[in-house]
Amino acid sequence: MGKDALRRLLKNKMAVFGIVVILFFILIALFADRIAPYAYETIDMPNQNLSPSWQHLFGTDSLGRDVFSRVIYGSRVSLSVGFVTAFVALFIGVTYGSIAGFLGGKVDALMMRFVDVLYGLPYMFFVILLMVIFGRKFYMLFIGIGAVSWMTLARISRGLILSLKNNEYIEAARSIGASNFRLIFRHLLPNALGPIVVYVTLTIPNIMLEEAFLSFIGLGVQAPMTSWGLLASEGKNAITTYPWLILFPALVLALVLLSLNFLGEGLRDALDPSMKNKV
Amino acid sequence: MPKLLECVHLKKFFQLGNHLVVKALDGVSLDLNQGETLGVVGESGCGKSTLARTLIRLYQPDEGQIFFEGKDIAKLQERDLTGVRRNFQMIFQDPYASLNPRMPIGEIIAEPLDVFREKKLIQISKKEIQKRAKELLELVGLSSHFSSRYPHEFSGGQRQRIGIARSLALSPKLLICDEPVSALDVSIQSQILNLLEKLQKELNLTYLFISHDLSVVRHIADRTAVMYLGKVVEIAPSKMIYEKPLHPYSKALLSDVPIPDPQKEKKRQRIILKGEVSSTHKRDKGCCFQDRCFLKTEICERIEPPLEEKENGHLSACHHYEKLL
Repeated sequence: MGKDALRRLLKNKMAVFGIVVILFFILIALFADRIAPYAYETIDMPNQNLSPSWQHLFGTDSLGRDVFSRVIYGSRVSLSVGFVTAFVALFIGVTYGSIAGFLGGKVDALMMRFVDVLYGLPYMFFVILLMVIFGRKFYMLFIGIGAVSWMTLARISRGLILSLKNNEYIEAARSIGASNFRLIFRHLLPNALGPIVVYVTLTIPNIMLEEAFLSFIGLGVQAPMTSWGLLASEGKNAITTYPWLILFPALVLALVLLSLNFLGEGLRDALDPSMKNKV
Repeated sequence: MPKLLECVHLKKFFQLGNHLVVKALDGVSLDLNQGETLGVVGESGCGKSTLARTLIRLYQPDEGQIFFEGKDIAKLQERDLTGVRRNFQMIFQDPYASLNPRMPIGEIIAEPLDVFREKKLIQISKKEIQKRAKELLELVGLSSHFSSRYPHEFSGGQRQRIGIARSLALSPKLLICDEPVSALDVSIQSQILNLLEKLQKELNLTYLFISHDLSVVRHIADRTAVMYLGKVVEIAPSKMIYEKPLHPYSKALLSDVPIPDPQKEKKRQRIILKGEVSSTHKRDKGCCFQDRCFLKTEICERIEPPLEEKENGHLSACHHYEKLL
């Protein structure tokens, strides 16, 4: 990203809000053990299901654990799974999709049929298989969810590259003997970046929820460790009696999602030079 | 004059579906002399742009040879081709599509140099490249301060100037101009044409100038080739073609150009051709123009007229050219 784009990004108030919120949560995740007032796993049976108070800001759950502390610790899992997986998916998906779209013809058909086949595979089956073969390790989450999320990105970037590659500026670059690498990375991808960036920022919250689902059926993080998605999905059982159990994790998730959307749109506009004076 | 570029019996077919083949170039032979401008005219779909793209090897020809300075480049692999590419560059039709919207124009103009530097074909530092880009901007009549701006900040005519600057970056000998002015306003057209003429004189360039606008070609070209359905049907010094066409198709095309003299304009008789161009229904036998020709006789159905010299320097592919005299 050039200086110019950075300046445009920082001029966009919504994007700056997004950046600040995301940085805030990253700091919380990094210093969770210093910030959290209680340990996330300490069970305190007499104090179960307390409503929010100064003692327990977000209340306590059915085992008497402090929800505020658990939300703070949960940010570690949620953010790392969300960001790492999204970037893995971005890298694989965009590379795969651009190669398919750029080469076209039979290679493209073959590569995209492979994606279609993967799309058709039941993804739970795939994750369970991974867990069985490699054991239940935390980084299996990255691989498991990443293996699913890259496919949509591959399709999106293939479509974008396909529609861009017949532009005359690509011919112009070809006519001076530019390499395929240069054509893809200097000419095609910068022009395809807008929709890709927006899609990625929308994928991150999705991945966080995916992780909650996997954890819920016992394939993700293991109790007592927790994540936002897991907290929310546990909380939904008691939504009528102890609504704070779902309210706070859900609020945090929503806030991060909103910030990512703002950041995504800000990035899209900042990376487009024709938006120079319109922010 | 020495020949700079010569193509012999060039063919380029495009496969559409399983049975449909479009013969975009069907045996084109042309030559370009050092320092001249060859105009290529013809209606949409006659293969003008395919000719341009095949000559600079954006397309791989199916048959035939392309001699650039005596060396056949038709079958060279891309790897061996790069070094030759610096000698011929292209100016594109659409100034809005031919510049990458995400690149500042300084980088766009410098890209050919950058590519050649990366491939170690020229010795030049990054600083020199920037300097050269600024020189090129001034050469085409733009301020060198513009180099960090993006394409969307320029008008159509300015963008076409940027495209011309890029094509000049490697100091080529031949410029292929693929309808460089057809997307521009008339007033801007003449500016760009004058710029091209100025550059030709200063840099001793050779042009292959493609257009469907006959008056533009008449203005700029020393010789003119008329194309129809992937074939050259007539080629001659521009003056001869415009005054005395020796092919019924050229005659019909020219009869359609308005004359800027009211007296003569009144007397102008238009020749309306029947039918329309359809390369897919082309017959294998006889003259390619027979379906629409007003001079057609029985021989045109049987024998394809060869492109031959009918008068001094005037080549035409017609059995009945005498009837036009």
